[in-house]
Amino acid sequence: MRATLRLMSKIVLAAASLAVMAGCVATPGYGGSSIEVGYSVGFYEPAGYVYGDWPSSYHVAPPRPDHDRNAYVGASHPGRSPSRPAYRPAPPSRQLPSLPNRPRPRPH
Amino acid sequence: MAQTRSRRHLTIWGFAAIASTWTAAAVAAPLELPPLVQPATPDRLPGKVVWVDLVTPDLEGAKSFYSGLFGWTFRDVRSGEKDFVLAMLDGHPIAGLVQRAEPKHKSKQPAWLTFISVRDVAEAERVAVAKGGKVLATSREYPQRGRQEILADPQGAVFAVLQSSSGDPADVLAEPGDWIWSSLITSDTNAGSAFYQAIFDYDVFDITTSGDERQHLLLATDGYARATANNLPSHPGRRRPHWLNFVRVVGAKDTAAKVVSLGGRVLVAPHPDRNGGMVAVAADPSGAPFGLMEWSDTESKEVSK
Repeated sequence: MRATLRLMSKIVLAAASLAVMAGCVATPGYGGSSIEVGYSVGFYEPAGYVYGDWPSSYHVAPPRPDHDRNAYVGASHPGRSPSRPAYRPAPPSRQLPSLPNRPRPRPH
Repeated sequence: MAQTRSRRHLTIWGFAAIASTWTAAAVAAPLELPPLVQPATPDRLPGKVVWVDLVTPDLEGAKSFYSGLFGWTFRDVRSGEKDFVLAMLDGHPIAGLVQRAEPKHKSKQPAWLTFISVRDVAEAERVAVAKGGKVLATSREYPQRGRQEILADPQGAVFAVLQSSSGDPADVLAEPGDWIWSSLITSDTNAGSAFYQAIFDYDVFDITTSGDERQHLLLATDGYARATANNLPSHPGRRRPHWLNFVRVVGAKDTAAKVVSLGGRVLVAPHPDRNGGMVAVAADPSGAPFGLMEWSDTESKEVSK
């Protein structure tokens, strides 16, 4: 009886160690737990968003389809836009894009 | 005697291997995420925000809040111990909701994670890392959904890339209650836009106006606006770059009032934006921020295919 109990406890102990080892190598993802760069609690983002003080000139929406690109001063405003941006500006000939206007097709 | 002991050890490790396999399988079983597009399409729209996932400690609370606010319905996608819910608008999947334990540290908060389409996750990772980004969760394949990976840009904004195995959703105007827009709110629009342009080949337009205190950039692909990059508003407090996604609403003021009545908070009061419509920023009861945006489609000229 004692021998059986000892055998069972060894099995449980060994299973637990193997499961822990398996957990350590599990790939991160929705089910993973080994997220890097301090993301050990999942995909919660770093806190620190502060809102409530957007000035009236703080715009986030896309332009309307009829907006003229030339209406935006862009890089011609020193101090607000760098004269030599790190990004590659869209060619001057390209129209200012907006959102798609096509409605979602209805299922038949 | 030695032979008996050896046989017993083999038995122990045999049972242990089977038990651990069951345990590991239960823990690591992948979610069966549904395809992004049904029926599948060959269309790929790199640079387009094609999906969002909410990571929340209160799944039931989130379902109640978003169904009351936008009329979303939900379908449970369970696998093992993991809880994932598909949010639908008029039968059309628009978001995922993932249950996670409450953040242990105040430095973390629930958020909507933005997924941007790529043709090749490995190539996106290579470029992102070369340009100063970080891999937060290595790429993972979901059989029907495709391959995805979570990254952070050099300024720290978290986003995900998705190589959909069913193609990308078509470019259509979002219905009220659906996601319509995304903004990168960052500490450096100039460097940030260059980073995202390197990965997604965006056309970048400077749409700063004479009255703007800060630089505004527009990121576009395939002739459509995909996102704006905005510098963080000036504020002495702590700021973190992030992506903010907007839901199209008919009336931002009424929706903002509803946010409060459902237990959420209004972070930026409704106010007119450059398109003439109102925008606002709200947080759900768990604190995850999202935007509200009015958009008039009276000028619609395109015809449904």
